[in-house]
Order: sequence, then C-alpha cells, then structure tokens
Amino acid sequence: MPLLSVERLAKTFRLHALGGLAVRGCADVSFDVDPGQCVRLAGPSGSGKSSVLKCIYRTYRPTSGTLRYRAEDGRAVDLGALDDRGVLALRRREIAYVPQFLRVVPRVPARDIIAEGLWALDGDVAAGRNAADAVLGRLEIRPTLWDLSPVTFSGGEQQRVNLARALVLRPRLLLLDEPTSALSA
Amino acid sequence: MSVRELARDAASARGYNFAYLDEHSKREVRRRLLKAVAIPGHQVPFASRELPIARGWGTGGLQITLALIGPDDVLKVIDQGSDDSVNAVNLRALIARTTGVWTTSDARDATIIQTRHRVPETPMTAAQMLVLQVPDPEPLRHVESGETRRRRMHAEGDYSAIWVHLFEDVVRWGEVTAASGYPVRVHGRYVMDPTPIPRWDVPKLDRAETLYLFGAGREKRLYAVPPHTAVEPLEFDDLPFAVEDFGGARCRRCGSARSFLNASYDHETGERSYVCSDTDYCERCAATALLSGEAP
Amino acid sequence: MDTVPALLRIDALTKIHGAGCDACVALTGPQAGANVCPRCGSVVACADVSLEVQAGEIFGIVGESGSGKTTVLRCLYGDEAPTSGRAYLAPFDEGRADLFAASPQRRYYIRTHLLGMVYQSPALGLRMDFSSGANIAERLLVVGDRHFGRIRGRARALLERTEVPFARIDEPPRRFSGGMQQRVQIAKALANDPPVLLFDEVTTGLDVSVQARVLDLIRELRRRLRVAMIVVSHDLGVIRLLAQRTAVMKDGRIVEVGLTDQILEDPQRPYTQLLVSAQL
Repeated sequence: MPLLSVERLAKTFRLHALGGLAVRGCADVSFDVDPGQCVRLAGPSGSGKSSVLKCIYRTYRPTSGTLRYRAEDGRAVDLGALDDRGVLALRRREIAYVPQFLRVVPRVPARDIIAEGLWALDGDVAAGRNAADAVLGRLEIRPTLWDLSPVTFSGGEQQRVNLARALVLRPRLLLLDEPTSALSA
Repeated sequence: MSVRELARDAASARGYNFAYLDEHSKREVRRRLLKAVAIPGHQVPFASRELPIARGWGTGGLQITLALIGPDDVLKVIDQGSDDSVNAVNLRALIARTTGVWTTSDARDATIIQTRHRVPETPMTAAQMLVLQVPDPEPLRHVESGETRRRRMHAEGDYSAIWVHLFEDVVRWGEVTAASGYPVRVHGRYVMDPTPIPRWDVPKLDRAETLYLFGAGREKRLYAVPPHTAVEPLEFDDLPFAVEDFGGARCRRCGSARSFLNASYDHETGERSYVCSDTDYCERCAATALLSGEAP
Repeated sequence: MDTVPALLRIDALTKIHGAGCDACVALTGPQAGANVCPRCGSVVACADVSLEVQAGEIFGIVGESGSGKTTVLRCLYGDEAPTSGRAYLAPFDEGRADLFAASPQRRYYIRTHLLGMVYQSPALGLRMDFSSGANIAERLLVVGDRHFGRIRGRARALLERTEVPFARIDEPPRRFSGGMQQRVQIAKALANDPPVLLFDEVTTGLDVSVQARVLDLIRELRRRLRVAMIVVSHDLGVIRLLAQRTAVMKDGRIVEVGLTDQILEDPQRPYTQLLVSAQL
C-alpha cells in the first residue's frame, strides 16, 4: 500500500488582475510513493516540479486530481481536500517540506530554528535542543554556527539548516525542493 | 402642656410643619432610605430639598434626621466629636425648634445621633440610629472622572481602579495613605465611602448593632449600612488595615488611652498634648476617673 | 480528522454603526467596494464574520483600513457591542454560552479572566501615569489576588519575560519608548494567564528594529505558553511571521481564509491576490 498516491494532479493559477489569465503549474501528474521509498521528480525549470510538492504540502490548492495519503493512524486522506486543521496536524508530525530557499526569522539561532518544530509538539526545551544538535552534527554544520542566525550562512549551510529543520521531526514523508540548487558541485 | 409641646406649637404657629420638611419630602427620603437599607452600601439618588442652610453644611444628614425624627425621639448632634461646635449647635437648634424634641449631649440617651466626621466612642445600640453627613459619597471620585463610567463600575463590581490606587500607594509610600474616608466593602458587594471619619472609627461600622444612614445633600445621594452587616476596609492580605497609633498618649482631661485623640499645642510653651475628640465620652470618662480615682 | 472543538468560535458577527436597514448588508461589502449603506447611510463595520481558533493556534486577520478587522477584536473583547452574531469560548460555560448575549457582569468576567488585549496605542491599554508594576498588578487585582508581595513578584516576573528592565517597574509607561510601552502592555495582557490573547496592530507605528523585537517576543511567548492568539495587522510580513492560519478581510467581510502560506503563495480571491502582490 503506497504511502502517497498522486492521481492526475493538476494545478492552474488564475490571475484575476490580468483578467483571469490562467497559468499552468502542472497537469495530469500521477505517481506513487511507498514507505521508505525515494521518488525523484526530474525535469527542466518551469515544468511544475515545485508545484507538485507544494500541492502535496498544501501550500497550493490543487485544481483537480487526488492526493491520497495514508496517515500514521491508518486513515487515508485526500490532501487536496483536507481541511486546514488536518493539514496543520500532518505538517506538525508527518509531512515535512524543505523549500528551495531558506526564509528565516533573523536573530533566532540555528539550533532554535531547528528545534522549534519539536517544541511545538511537547514544549520540552532540552529534548528539542538535543535533537537539533544531533541533526546539526550529522549534517556536518560547524558547532560554532549553531548559536548564530543562519542569515549570514553560506548557501550550502542555509540549505542544510533547512534540511535539519525537516529531519528533526522524523517525518514519514519528506518533500525536498531543489535540494542542491544552492550548493556548489 | 409640656415645654416640648409648647415649642412645637410655636413652630407650627409660625407656619412650619413638624420637622420643617413637608410630609411629601419626608416620604421621598424615607422611601429612598428603605431602598438604601435593602442594598447596603449602594448610593441611592434622591430629590434633595433646599433648606435654610447652605449646601456643604450637612443638608443630607439633616434631611434624613428631619424625615425620621418623631416627637418622642431624643436628639444628639455632633461635629468632629463635639456637641459644642457652631455647626452642631445650629443644626440642633433648627431641629429642636421645629420639632420640640429633647436634645442631649449624652450618647447613651439619644435615639438619633447626627454626626459629621466621627462615630461616637460610646458603642451604640439597636434602639439608636446614627445619621452621617456626607460631603462626597463617591469612593471612585479620585480614580475615575466620568460619572457614567463610575456607575458602570459599581454595577459590574469593577473596583480595579481603586485597588490600583491602593497598590500604587504602597509602592510609593510603603502603606495605604488614606487617613480618613478609607474605602470599605459593604456586605461583600459595594465599595462605599464611609465619610471622612478617621480610620479609628471604621471598625465600628462592621457588624454593628446600630443602623447607619448616610446623606449627601449636595450630591443628592443616600446610602445605608443595616445592622449586622459586614463592612471591611480594602486591604492587602500581607498589609492589613490598621487604626491610628497614638504612641501611648493619653487624653489630658480624662486620661483615656482608648479613644481617638486630637493633638493640640500650647502656644506659649510649645508643648503638645492630646484631648479626646469625642467631648461627651471625655466628660464621662473624666467624671468616672474622678470618682474611682483611676484612669479609664 | 478527529474534531476537537474550537477554543474560540465566532458566528456571523455583524457590527453596524447607525440605525441600519434591511439592505445594509446586501448593499455593502467587497463587491460594492464600500462600507457605507447607500440607502440609510449607516456604516457596516463588519458583517457575517465567522471564524474558529484552536487552542495554542495563532490566527491572523489581515486587511487594510476599513476592512473591519479591528472591529472584530473590539467586539470580542467587549469594547463594542455587536449588532448581531454569536461567539463561544471553550472555558466559558464549556463553550455553550454566547458571549455576546451574556450579562454585563459575565462579560466583565470574560474580559478579565479569559481574554487579554494588546492595543495599537499603549495609551488605550495602560494607565500611563501609574507605574508599570501597578499596571500589571491591576490585572491580578481584578481577578481577586490581594497579596501585595505576591502580586509584585508576578509583575516583576512578567516584566522580565517581556524584557523590560526590572529597575523600571516603578516608573510610569509615559516615560518609556514606544517599544517598551508595548512590551509592558503585553506583560499586562499576560498577567492573568488568559487562554486567548488579542493583538491589534501591535507593531504598527514602531521603528523596524523595535517591531522586530516585539515580534520575537510574541513568537517566544507562543512557544513557551502555547496561548492562542488572534493577530490583526495590515502587514503581511507580521502575519507571515506569526500566524498559522489567516483570514483576509475587505470592506467588513472575510474574503478568504486558509493556511497562511497558502494565502501568501496561492491566493485564490482577486482581492487577496492584489494584497499579496502589493506587498513590497
């Protein structure tokens, strides 16, 4: 039973200021993701890869198609049709999204940014910090940076903070948007 | 015909109704007083009449006394504890001349005592009434300038503004600085201004035998504390209300150490001495001391 | 999804200034582009506003002046009486009693025990001539605390949490900078541990660096206290930073409501698209 089953997903943007101009994000996208499996969406820039990820994460509202996701409690939900409350619950624990760029609050240290997701679950400050430190270590970010705001980090370091923020939650579904675009070869 | 009846007849011969006020005015005051007694501490508006004394000189208290007094009552009037001050003398004269009632300075004999700014030292009984003259009935006057807002605060029991003032007092001075007119909570509900009586007198209002009636003529408000009603000064749990401390001083005349004392200075020697504020109490104490050879 | 009942629910809140008529609501709103009823001249500050806030959630309301967003907060807090509508708070009668229909005494209880409000102008939320400590003490005194030492201790702790130097506890807020005044307001709103905090344009009018500090504080509080908040702002940046879900208002109506990132990146309604694209 796949973890996620995308069927004929389509996203079209309607720009009202331009007379209702339709801009296509993606069309007729279908694929399955099994638990533990890594699926790569490849294609040229503008082909809709980000749109697919954002539809799954529900940053975009899909125009049509279904996104059948098997949640941890066993239920199958259509992510596109799920209510806000349900989406937020899944985002807290199960589905994580790593954006292409890091958009962060300044003045907040990297380890706090990463631990925030865990703190939102149970408020245990110490445990959150420890988990954040562990992930920072695994991603080989220098410890001297841990208490600094990522605003001054290099592109690669920022991407790794992005990744750490998602990984620390131990999600069942990880969505990575152009994870290497900001990195040197 | 008794002397009293003669006096009464003389007054009516000059065209005065018994106790000066017409019967309708008395009824208005009595009705409002009933409401005031039914809602302890709550200010009841009333149609305050014009009197032959100016506003600010006790017209509220006077109207209560005139509305309630009967031919068999015995009247005492004091001002700052003294029967002899000009105001007390004039008020007493007006009431006596239009009613013919007996007047006295002995707090034990009076049935109605009208007072300004003091509660008699002699404990009062259930057969007596104390009528207090009120300059300004509103305990919220310093904390909120809008009348509509004040009424709403009383209605909602929102006394946070007073409490903040008390808090700020303690922050600035280490204690609540109100020396007289200390705000009190009546029957657990309304906050009331007990008039400018000293702190010394505030405990006398709590669960007393006597009916306390308050009249503000200029502001046109009446309020009451029925017998056996809780009257609690607003205080912090860790800073309890305390009465004045005279540091062991005694009254120069009667030797009392258990009454509210006024300080006075000898102009020539500069020496400070204390005298009881309540003259009636002082005289009786002095007489008792004389007879028994002991200080009270 | 398991249906957890909302902490706060507002149903069809409507506020009309003036006599009002049958056509007021129909003739005003985003389509009409106006708040003023052309037939009777009444101002429809807001109409048919419905929303839900969960425990621990931050809900944003964004809109321009005249959108009605501040009216919603003022009606909820009790600064204004709505023309119609209902509201329910979980801790109040287990969410069964309509706040707007409650007696003045009960309304007072809600306002002092269950809600905290931070106004755009500190002068509205603070007694400017009383010490900052006394301002905070007021919220505690109002819920019946009578222990001076304990109240002062709590005031001190709250000022510390909002990063106001303890040395200023006995100074009146009139002498503080705008940012510090706002922080005293926040400390005051938190004093009695309300389950819901209301923020009305808290950072508007402050210098950018000061804004940042206040926003950091709010995020910190959300993280530490898990208190639910409604944040009203015209600034999408503030909304993006703080809110998980957002409602967009125009001319007194809710035009769109959804996840904040969805509102910002995939706005559906014409006005929302306009608002988002207009942000620098």
